[in-house]
Amino acid sequence: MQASKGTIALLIEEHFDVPQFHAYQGFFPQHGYGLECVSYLWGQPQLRFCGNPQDGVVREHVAVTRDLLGLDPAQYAGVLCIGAYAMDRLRFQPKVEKGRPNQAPAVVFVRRALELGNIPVGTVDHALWLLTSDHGLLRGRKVTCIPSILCDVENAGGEVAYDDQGVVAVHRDGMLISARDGRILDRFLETFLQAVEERAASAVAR
Amino acid sequence: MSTRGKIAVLIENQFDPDQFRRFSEFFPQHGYELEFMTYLTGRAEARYGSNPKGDDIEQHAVVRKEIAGSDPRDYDAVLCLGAYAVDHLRHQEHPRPGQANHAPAVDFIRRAMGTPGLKVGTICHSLWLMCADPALLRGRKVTCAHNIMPDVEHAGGDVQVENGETVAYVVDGDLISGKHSQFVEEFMQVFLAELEKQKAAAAAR
Repeated sequence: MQASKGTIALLIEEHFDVPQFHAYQGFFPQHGYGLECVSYLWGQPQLRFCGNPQDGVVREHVAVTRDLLGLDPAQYAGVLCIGAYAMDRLRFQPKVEKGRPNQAPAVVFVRRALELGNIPVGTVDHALWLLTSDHGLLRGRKVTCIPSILCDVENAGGEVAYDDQGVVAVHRDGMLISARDGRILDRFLETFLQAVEERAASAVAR
Repeated sequence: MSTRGKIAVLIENQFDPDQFRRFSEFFPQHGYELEFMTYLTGRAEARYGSNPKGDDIEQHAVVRKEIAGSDPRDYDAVLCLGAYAVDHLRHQEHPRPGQANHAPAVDFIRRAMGTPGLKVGTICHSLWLMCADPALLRGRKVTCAHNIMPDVEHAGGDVQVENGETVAYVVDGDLISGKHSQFVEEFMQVFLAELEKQKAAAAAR
């Protein structure tokens, strides 16, 4: 068995996008990377999440044992935020305070990954909601997303990449790689993988 | 029984099942007819499932009224269902930079909020619809689910927080917002009270 080149952290929660989930499970092992599902476990050893319904039926489930609480993103080759509605769940805080940065473990994790600056962070369709949950995460960053969340992204200070048809399909801004929706997953995954391999190459060069 | 009035209810897939069930019971019990509306996009009807609770999709809706071309002024009030229903309603096929969102539901809510006396209600996530136009929320006192509080604040909304939680409901003029399905009974009572006050005031003129 080929030794893993590293592990991609996949942030996931209830109402996750099922086609993306299957695509990631196939793609990363094919390219020599492990894929680890991570989530906030609310003090439990394991949580089981249901995927977003397909044709009116919930068909997919995932059990997660890796807790985002206190998790260091630096140990991962890359960080992926799954699409559909899972990231809205992950930004939940039981207590809120006006003006205080979001303390949800998933937001703390992604904030740290972005601060480190050398860890690829990928989002598809609605997953940028995890980054709109904080006032500074998107400021000065250029991204794409599903059109229904455009206002949330722009109101949070993000710049959206448009083309003459609407929003672009995939955009890379440094180590932040975003995609409009799951219809162009191949292009998104190639762009994300390129960033992951660049990081690995620069680590070797040091 | 003659109806006391009509309430437009904006709905799409993965709507909140508890709000749907309780609105469908409560408002008709108090004499108000509900008219559910959505983007039919040429279809005769749209069939939706509620946001799943685990594996269970508890409620199903069949909607036959199109939002595009509808006028909120034909109604006494507008309700926006929570969970993820409002997400799809903000969609635009070809958005342009710097251009205001003219998805039909956003235009509908803009007109509703610009009509004095027309009550508009949101609960849990449905304030997202107003986030599509920051002019709608600027300086308005509201409540919402914790998840969307940053989106609402970025859109200019003044989210009311007490003891580390968003409050159960807020009345700010004609805008009545509720926090979550957990408080749906209070929300409906308050919304009905505001509707009835408006009717009494209109009758007195």
